Amino acid sequence: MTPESFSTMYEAATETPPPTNLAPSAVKAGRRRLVRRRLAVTGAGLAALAVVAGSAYAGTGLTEDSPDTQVATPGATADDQIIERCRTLDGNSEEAVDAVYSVGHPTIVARAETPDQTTYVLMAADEKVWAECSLPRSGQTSPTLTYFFPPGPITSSGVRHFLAPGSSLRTAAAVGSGCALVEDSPDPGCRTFVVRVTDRLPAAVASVAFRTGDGKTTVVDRQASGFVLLDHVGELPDGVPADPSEWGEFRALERVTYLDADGDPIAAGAMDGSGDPMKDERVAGLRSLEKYLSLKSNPEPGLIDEVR
Amino acid sequence: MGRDHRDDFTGFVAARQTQLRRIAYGLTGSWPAADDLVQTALARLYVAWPKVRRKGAEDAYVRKIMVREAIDESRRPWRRVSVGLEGFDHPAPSQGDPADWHDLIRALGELPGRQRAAVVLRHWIGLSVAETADVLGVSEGTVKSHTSRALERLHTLLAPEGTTR
Repeated sequence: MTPESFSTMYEAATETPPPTNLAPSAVKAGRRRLVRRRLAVTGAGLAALAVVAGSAYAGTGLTEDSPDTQVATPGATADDQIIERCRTLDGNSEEAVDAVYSVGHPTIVARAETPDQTTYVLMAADEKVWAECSLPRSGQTSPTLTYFFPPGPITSSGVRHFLAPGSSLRTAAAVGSGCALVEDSPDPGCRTFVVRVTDRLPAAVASVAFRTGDGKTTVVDRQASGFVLLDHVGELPDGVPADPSEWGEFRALERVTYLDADGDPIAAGAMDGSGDPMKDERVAGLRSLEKYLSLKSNPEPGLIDEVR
Repeated sequence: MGRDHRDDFTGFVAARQTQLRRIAYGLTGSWPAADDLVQTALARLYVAWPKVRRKGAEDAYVRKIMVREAIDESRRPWRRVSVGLEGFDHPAPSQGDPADWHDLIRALGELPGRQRAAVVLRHWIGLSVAETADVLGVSEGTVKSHTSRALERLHTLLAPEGTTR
């Protein structure tokens, strides 16, 4: 292929982007970032932003105690204590904290427990933003808060594009090493991996089956609030290195299948584990997951039917 | 940031957003991911706007953030992976064979991140070798080898079956 032919093909491939409303969103996101930086510079005690908004999985170690070990605050409910603990975690993005807590007292709308940690979904008081907060029990993962913003406008084609930081229609998982980092890299002796999903799905999806790279399938029910939470710790197969950047063909999450109330599959998506949606595969005989778009960014009623 | 700077920044975004999104689409392979990437880059640009604007380096600055963010994403011990939205958000092209443009984006996804970025910056945006090297943080020789290998690989991937070695 010549440079000229590449240019011509690329021009055609990208010449009609879907509509967007990027400028106002960019200003808003930039202002939040600027405020954070100023606060940090003036010694307000805010930690440096360590993660990209919406991808707040740092895997940085095991410094937090279980919520069970907290000192009780007089008058505060157990949920209040958890909510407050989520606000003050070391790994938090200030942007996340601001988004979830600045409009009032958030509430816990979903939770999922594993032997290692409990993941909570916090809904902001104005219900425009929700976040996930994971508190470890035995030190498999670091506690972090991540959040999702409300959606952007619906375009004329009915496809909604999420422009705020960390927001997206994509059904996404976080995958990584199951052990603490050693000098910012996964412990080479670590033989576990973790797949974490916090998603919000339409009512047509009663449960979700996740097939992971250890050959196991975990079925998670959709909670009444619409949230689906998975926190799977698996054994790395022999020969797969501990460092996710060296996983190569290993797919931590192999397949996601949406099931209806009868337990029958209604849609599925497969992935190659690279984190690159371009390399994902379709699952023969089933509709793609896009038919049941994630509600993680809380689209308005009717959008799903419109896109379907 | 004062109102003048904000208006200036908004004007920049309005003028450049289409090109930035088209670059990001090649780097990420989907429009939602492209918008996330552009959003992240613009949020960082906003913070540095007065200084970067004075230098006249806003285009280079935002491209550098986008490319490095896209490449770094695959290197994190934790990373985000997405499932099954391939195809839903692609607009219909106004000309050309849909199979060709779709295949090109898919073929780009087969390339290592730096090769993917190098070929887009060098041969679609038209950056010089030196400018591309600056964005990628590599030597000019590396840019040449990246773009050469990328074009060769794309040729192989896009050739009709049976016509390549």
